[in-house]
Amino acid sequence: MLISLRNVEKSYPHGVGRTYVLRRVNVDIKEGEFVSIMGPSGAGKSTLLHILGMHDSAWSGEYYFMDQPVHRLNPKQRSELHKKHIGFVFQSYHLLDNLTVYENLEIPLSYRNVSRKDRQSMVGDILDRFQIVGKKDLYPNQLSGGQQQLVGVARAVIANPQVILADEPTGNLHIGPRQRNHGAVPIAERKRGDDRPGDPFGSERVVRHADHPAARRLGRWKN
Amino acid sequence: MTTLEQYCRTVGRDAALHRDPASAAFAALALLLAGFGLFSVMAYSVAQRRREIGIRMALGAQAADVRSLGRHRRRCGSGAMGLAIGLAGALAAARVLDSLLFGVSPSDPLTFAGVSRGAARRAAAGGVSPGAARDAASTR
Repeated sequence: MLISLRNVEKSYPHGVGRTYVLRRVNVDIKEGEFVSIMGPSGAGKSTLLHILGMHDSAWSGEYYFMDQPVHRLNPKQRSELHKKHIGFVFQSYHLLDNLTVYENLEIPLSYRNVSRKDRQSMVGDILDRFQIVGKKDLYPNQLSGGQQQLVGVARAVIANPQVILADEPTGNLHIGPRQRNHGAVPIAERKRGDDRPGDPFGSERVVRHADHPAARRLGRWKN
Repeated sequence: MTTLEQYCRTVGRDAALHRDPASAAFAALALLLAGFGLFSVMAYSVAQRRREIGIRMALGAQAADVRSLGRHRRRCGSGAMGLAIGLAGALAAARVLDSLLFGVSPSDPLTFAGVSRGAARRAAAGGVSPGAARDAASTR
């Protein structure tokens, strides 16, 4: 099992009681599965993704990632595990404003002991795949929202992680045919051997492509 | 054998120190305030970068990477610039203090080197202090 959650809960103290953001979440995700998480605003979708992405450590329950008990790991071990295996697309892009597109794409590689020469090659390759070579020397504030999101997606996949977690990654994207085949979300499809072109970015299609029935239950996870 | 000039210099310096403890206290206070100010500015400038630090950590940076980022950039950038400006100002103002100094030149290289070293260490400490980089490094 790639990801396994057992009774994961996250709550905040609120007056004399507690407000639960997530309650008793149990889910298993196998390698190669493409899972969509849907739910109303405030259901805890982003919270769950940040727990899965190991950005959030203030929760209770059991989380097994590639059979490793994340709930028992110290922050350094979690960071190592996250660094090796997870790419994360943030809802609000989170590009660094003082760095160019090229430098933003280079960041994940610089923390993975990739040599300078290999970094150049990998960044060049991803710029080409996403058709943003011409933007490499621009700063995020010189890009449109869609272009920033595209860079955010490119940054998440550049280190070729085994798991890609994407928090509403497609809202601002305007995707051309080439990017469909080589770009962001289709990577999940390619991983399961499905490389057909199409429009995987529409929410209907994302849901239809989701392998996991539990993906549609998030609205009920919150009590 | 002590010449009259040496004797007067020694007696004059000792007398100045004993006669004017207030000056020494003010000097110590000024040094303390300068160090505290420098530390605060450096800690603030690092704290301003919490968002960047958080993003970098989400992309794989370890706490040690963040600490070295703050230390390296701060010390090499604004810290060095502040040191250069401070040294230039101190050299220019040193002539005014000439008449108040005993047994030491207004441009004494050892004094300047010592003060610069102390200021640089405070600046570096500000970059990795609690509440600054270490605090930001724990941002999740």
